[in-house]
Amino acid sequence: MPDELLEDHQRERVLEAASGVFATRGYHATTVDDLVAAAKIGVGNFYKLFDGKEGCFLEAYDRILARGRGRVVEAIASQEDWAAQVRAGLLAALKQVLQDPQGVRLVLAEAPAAGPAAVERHRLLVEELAAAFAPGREHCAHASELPKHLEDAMAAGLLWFLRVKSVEGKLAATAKSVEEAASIVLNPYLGTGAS
Amino acid sequence: MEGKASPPPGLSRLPPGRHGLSREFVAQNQRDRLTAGIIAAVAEHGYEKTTITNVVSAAGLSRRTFYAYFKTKEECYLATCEEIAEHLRGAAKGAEADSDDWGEKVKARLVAVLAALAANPDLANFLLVAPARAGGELSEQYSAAVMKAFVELTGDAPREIQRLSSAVEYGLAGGSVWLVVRTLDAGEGTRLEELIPDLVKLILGPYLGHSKAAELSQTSA
Repeated sequence: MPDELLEDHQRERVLEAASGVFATRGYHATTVDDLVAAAKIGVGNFYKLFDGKEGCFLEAYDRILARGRGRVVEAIASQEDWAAQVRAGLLAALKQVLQDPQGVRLVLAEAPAAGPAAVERHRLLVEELAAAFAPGREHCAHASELPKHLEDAMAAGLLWFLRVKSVEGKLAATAKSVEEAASIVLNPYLGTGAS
Repeated sequence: MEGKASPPPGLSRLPPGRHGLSREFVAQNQRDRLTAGIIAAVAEHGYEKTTITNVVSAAGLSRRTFYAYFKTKEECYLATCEEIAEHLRGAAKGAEADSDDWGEKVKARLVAVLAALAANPDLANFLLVAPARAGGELSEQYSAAVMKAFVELTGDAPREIQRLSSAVEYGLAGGSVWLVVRTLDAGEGTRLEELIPDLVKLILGPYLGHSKAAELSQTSA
């Protein structure tokens, strides 16, 4: 195998192992020794791949998020109607969450703990989601009465819900779960119930 | 640096030795100093990097005194959070007394809590930002505490107000905390009160309808 391919392969393997360690031990409690032990590589090789614990965390974060984002974007593209897009995106997100609970822990619970660069990524994730919700205003009869920061709050609130429920093991990729999560986003616009 | 920090302002150091003060008074004074000490230490170092040495040096006390009250940094942190929560509860309770209407009560509580946090951003950071930055076990306890606070804020809705699903409650609680944390992160803690109209609409809209919530958000506290 050419060196570059070998390095990519090794990087993948280390990131996979590192994600598990970060998710179970927590970012602060994790040491580079833990990471190299889990990935079964030498410390020297670890530092050839990453500039340290934080760099390794950020790459693991980006990798998990890219995977989830790909699925969600694809699901959204399969629908025309805005509410249907929200539901389809959430179903894809829930499937991802269930398939990789450790990834969820890393992205939603540990990123806010993993230093300024990770905190900034978390903020960007909230903004990206918020931008996806904003078209809801066009479907809303009372748009002028909505809170200015509604989308940011809902995006963060949705991530909060997913994190807590994922940790509690109470998520499922069922229509009921999708409807629950979707209600966080859809209710303020479509105003079910409240007079 | 260690050992040189003076006690935070407002906390006078008791003279060493016999000072004729009752045991209870000394105990309360020491505990208050540890409370102020950990708030100052976390503001300076962040939760993770704060050591018990930082706490006692900010409090002007010995490590032995620390261990007379708490077994660990975490225990001291959680006890301090509970004290702050109690203080905020008191402020909320005082503020709601004037209104009979549930929506107005919720608004009064929000106004009182945000005013208290805006008056002391270190305290707000200690309570709301530090545990999120700590990750691990503490961030789970944080989530539980936020949901408990949300129930205290809204849980006494009268019968005629519609109930929300637990998912929507999680969304509202997590979303509200995010708006506050983002403001604190931007170093704008003293401007927290500017969030009040948005938070009133965000939280009360689903219960009362958007028009009523928008109306409430505009009336003065």
